[in-house]
Amino acid sequence: MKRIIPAILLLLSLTGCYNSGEPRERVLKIYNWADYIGDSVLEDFQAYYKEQTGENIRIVYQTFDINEIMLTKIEKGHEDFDVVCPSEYIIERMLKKHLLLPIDTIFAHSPNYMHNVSPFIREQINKLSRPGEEASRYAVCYMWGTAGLLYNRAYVPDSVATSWGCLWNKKYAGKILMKDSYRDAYGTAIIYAHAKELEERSVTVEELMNDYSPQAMGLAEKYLKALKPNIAGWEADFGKEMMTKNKAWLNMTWSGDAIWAIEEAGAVGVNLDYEVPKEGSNIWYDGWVIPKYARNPEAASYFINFMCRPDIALRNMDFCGYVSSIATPEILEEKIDTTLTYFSDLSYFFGPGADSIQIDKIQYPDRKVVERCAMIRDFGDKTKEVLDIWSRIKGDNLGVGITILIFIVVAWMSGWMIYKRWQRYSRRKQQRRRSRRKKVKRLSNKSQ
Amino acid sequence: MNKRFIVFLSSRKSWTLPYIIFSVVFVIIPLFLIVVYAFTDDSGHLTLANFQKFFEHPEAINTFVYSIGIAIITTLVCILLGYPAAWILSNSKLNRSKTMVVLFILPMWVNILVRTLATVALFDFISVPLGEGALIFGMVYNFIPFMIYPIYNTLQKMDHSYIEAAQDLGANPVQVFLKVVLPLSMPGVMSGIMMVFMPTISTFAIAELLTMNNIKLFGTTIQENINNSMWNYGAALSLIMLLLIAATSLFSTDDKDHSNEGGGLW
Repeated sequence: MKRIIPAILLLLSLTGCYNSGEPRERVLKIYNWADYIGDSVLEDFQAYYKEQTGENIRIVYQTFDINEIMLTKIEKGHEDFDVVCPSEYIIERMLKKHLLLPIDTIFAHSPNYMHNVSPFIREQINKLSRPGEEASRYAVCYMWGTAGLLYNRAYVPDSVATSWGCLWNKKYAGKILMKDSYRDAYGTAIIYAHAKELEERSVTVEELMNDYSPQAMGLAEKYLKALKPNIAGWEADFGKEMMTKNKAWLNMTWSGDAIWAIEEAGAVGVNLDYEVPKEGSNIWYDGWVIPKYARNPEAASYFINFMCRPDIALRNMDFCGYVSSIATPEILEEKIDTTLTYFSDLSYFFGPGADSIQIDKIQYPDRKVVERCAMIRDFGDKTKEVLDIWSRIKGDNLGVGITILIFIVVAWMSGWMIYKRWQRYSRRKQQRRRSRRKKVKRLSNKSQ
Repeated sequence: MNKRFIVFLSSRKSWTLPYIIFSVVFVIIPLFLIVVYAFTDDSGHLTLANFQKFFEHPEAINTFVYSIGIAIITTLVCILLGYPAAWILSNSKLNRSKTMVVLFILPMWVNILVRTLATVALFDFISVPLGEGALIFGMVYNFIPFMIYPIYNTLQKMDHSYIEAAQDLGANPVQVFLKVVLPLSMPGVMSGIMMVFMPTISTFAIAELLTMNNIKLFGTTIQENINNSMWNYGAALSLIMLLLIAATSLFSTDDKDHSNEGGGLW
């Protein structure tokens, strides 16, 4: 026994070993999306950090796949992650709740790479600002992209995929996949519901995306309910596979996923394409932030700066398929593809001079595409109501057959119970009567 | 007090100590937290709003009833398929080797998720559409060992002289089965029902994978709420599910009392 207890204590201390002994300044805790960073970028950061500060650093790298879980860990669990990569609406929520530290932009030796971020992106991130708190001081955009339609060109003509309307088309019923994301679904429904007004330019996508009035909610719900019978499934990550196997023809998805799918499908001879419909869509941004409970904000700032280096940005971009927010000439040069037959206007992103370049249009959307898209802001207190709509749409499977079955089973079970109880009761009564009779007999025998 | 503790430690009862610690940490505290969360709101004030929300929202009740329905169907199919299987396994005339038992129980050794993913791939291969039918198939496939094994156990432990006695008294095979074997194996069936019904109500992974997220079960609703950091409502829903499971287990304990009274007969 005496030997066991120290052994247990040793075991317990081993599980939390990094915070015993090792100073916290030598550890950088990163919390990122899964598959969202280039190969061996972390090792290179360690070398970079050593070069800059002369100190070694150990990296604790963890991944998440749901924004809200990450937020809960930081907000309620007070976990001391130094650098995290949430989506724009979570950055907004974190700013609102004062959960962020400003990012240090003064670097003693190294050049400041953070200004490599495209001014356009910085402007977009600044829309999340609160009075007195400029958002771009707290968040540096990492990757960005659009939401749109991935479609199979063998079954869906290019002219059809230019409108969200094809999702509501009965012709494609059972061949449509939607991303399992209530924010994108809500945005899509509300945009399509106002397709006519958008064409007349009496409303903007940005207004629609962020309209949570009861009328808008009701309208979105109506459209999503009409959409449901057409849907083959709500995909979390099986969309790519189903599209490349011709099992689904249309998939509402994100640009980075679309690039993966198109590449994979091309390898097996399936012709997929991606389009941001003419009504407009959602542009999203994921960014690096330093949470309030971070215990090594200095190394975190170095890390964010390092991630903004053009060569590192390119490596990350090649790895995950999404588009980095970095807009330097090196990146432009690397990304230009002279084999393409179309020209895009990217002056909004790379600055003047890039108004007619040959570049992948899925990764880098044309100015016209970006102009019809908008960021979906945080729903705030309305999140619960939107989720209610979401669960009303997804959770409506109850049929008459099952209801009847339940009634029969419950009725049968209760009937059976009552029957058993009654049987037991009558048996007891009989036993009692019998024993009473016996007693009477015994008594009468005695008295004789 | 201290002395008593030492006496406790030196007695054989002290062997329960690890389990007591385990159950306090992993069962009692989490349950207590569920109750606390279910009856409070975001800021920690006592409230019944979470339960009110459940009863006011038809879609939550809809999903709940639907999950119960699916669980009932799964349990019924499991009994219908599992009883004959258990009967074959326990019958020494039909099954002479113990390898059969291992083969029947084998699926239980494979992780549920792996089995379900394999089912999806298989259905893809033979191009069976995913949906309600696939869901029920997946549920039955995953939970049928939990039905076979308890029935097999009771059938095996059954005293065969009862059957011989019935045969001596002139019962035909059907009568022997209905009047002797079936009632004697009922405790096994009851525990099989418990082991199948309870987990099927709360699964969500099988439903998500085998219906492409199209069919939502109650477990999915809870998971969705908790993932979107609405812990209080999620906790209230979990509590409602726990209460239902507790209610179903009442059925079985009642029958057990009875079986003790009736001299082992159900």
